[in-house]
Amino acid sequence: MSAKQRREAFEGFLFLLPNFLGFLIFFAVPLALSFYYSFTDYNLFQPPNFIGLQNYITALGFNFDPEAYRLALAQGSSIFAALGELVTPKDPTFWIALGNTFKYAIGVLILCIMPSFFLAWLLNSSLPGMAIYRGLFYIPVVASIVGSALVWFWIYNRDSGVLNIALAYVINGLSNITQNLGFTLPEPIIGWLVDSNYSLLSLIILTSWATIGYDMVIFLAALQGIPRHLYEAATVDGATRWQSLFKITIPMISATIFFILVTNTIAVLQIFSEPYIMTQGGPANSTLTIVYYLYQKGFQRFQMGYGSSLAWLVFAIIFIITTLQFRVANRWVYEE
Amino acid sequence: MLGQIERVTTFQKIIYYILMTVLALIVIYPFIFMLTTSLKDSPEVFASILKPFGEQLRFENYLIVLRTVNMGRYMLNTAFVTICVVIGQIFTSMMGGYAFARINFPGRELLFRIYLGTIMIPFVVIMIPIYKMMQVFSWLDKFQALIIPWVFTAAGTFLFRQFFKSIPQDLEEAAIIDGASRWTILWRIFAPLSVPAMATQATISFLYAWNSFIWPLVAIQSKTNYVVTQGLADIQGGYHASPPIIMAGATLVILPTVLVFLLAQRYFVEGVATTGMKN
Repeated sequence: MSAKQRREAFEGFLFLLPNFLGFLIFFAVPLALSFYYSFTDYNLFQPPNFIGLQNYITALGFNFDPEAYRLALAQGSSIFAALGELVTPKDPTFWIALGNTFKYAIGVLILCIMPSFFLAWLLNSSLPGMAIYRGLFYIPVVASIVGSALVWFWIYNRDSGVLNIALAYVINGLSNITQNLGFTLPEPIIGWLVDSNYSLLSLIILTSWATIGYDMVIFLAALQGIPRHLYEAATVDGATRWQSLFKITIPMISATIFFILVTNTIAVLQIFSEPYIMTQGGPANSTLTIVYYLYQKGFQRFQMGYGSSLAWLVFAIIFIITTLQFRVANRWVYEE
Repeated sequence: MLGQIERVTTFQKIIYYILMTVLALIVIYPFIFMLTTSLKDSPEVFASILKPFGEQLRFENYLIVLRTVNMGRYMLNTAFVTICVVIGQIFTSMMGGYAFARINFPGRELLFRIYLGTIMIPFVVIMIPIYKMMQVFSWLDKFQALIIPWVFTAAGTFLFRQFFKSIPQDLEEAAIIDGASRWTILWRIFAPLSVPAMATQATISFLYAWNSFIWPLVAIQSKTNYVVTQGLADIQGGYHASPPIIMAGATLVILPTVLVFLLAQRYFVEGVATTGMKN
């Protein structure tokens, strides 16, 4: 290495130093520590003891209790009920949180991707005023989710929330028609946040509302990147608007659809604020997400070793899902 | 879609604008609800929930939130933290991005790839050790905990590296011949050219810092050091938890980001497009 090269390398390190030190101290070191904690019984107040895979076994493991199985059969339970007694998760709450988080992710994907694509498709026009609409649709994305969650908390209010009042208005209107036909519709009093059948759906709607603008902007950028001559050629060949949509638009933006699938999934798997503000994970753990559970374990009960193992499980799930999505994407995503 | 290929009739245009307006109203309705409720009197909220206005506009709700609930203090705290994070992130990202884009040093590409790989790792993975670290540094419950761990960003470094790579090499070579140092080149030549990248990164950092919640929630305990999201969550559980007061609080938390967004829309959208599409 010449003196000049050495000097350049030295300068390079110097320029990178503020960034690299921060990266080391506030990222690499905590990452290694977190991995180590996940194999300990760390509780913040006492030095951590190494306990091997115990935390992961607690989270993912099952108890086998043949005694309970026999007892249940002897008491006349069905074989399925008895099997439920035989195999029980060591930490049932973890599985509830995991299940909720998956449902949450699937719900958001369904409620987000189609509407945001539809909005982008509508906005992809040369008519004036489109920037204004785009801006309006994007506002929920920049608004603090804590603020939005509190607003929706009151919209969802069971007895005097706007949503139930509006639903009542619609249903009463319909009842006038159906009464003539001889039956009445049920009273629309839905406990959006207090009924465990609706609580998770309510949070899914909120998160989707706060995400649609983001997806829409990405879809719109992709739509505007499609060369116009493709559409012109298709029109000349007599293609209908629907044929253009399915034969040109969707294949051309398949990489974007894939990108949105991945980013939305990663974001939803880390949901915390919505259940914290609106439901505290309830009722009956119906909105307990995995990161909220991590927060409860790590920062409310100070089981930081167990909390760290949950954090690594979240990361493992994100990693596996992303890898799977990449694998599957290779088959259907069109790349230029 | 409309107007791209075929000609559109006036009737189609009217239908189209009506549809867009209805959709936009549905999407922003929660904010309309928030604003109108924040100006009502507490007892009339439930009696007149669908009406936009109560008997009179009660701007004093905002005074209650700013003074009695102390939201004014929380807003100042958050503004201070946010400004520090934005400036810090831009500074470290520009230095790092310049090093990655323009200076040859051994291990550069490998290190850059490691940086990129870390973007995928969620914050919750390192939250517990960082909490412990803050405790060791005696930074818990102080603004340092909200600022210093946050002024280093792999994504920002990536953004500036990409931007600097697009700047022609000649500019720099001419300056080197004139005897300029790299420090001068970065701040005198590259910085003025990268205002759009700075604005894009600033919008991303600003949104992130102003809206952050889970980390302040664990790192800050004293009410005097609360940030806005914490203060807002606190109103709901507190003595003043009536809908108009909560909605006034939510307005104060949401309005700054919306205003900045409306003023700098272009950079927000560019931020989404760059962080989104180039990865």
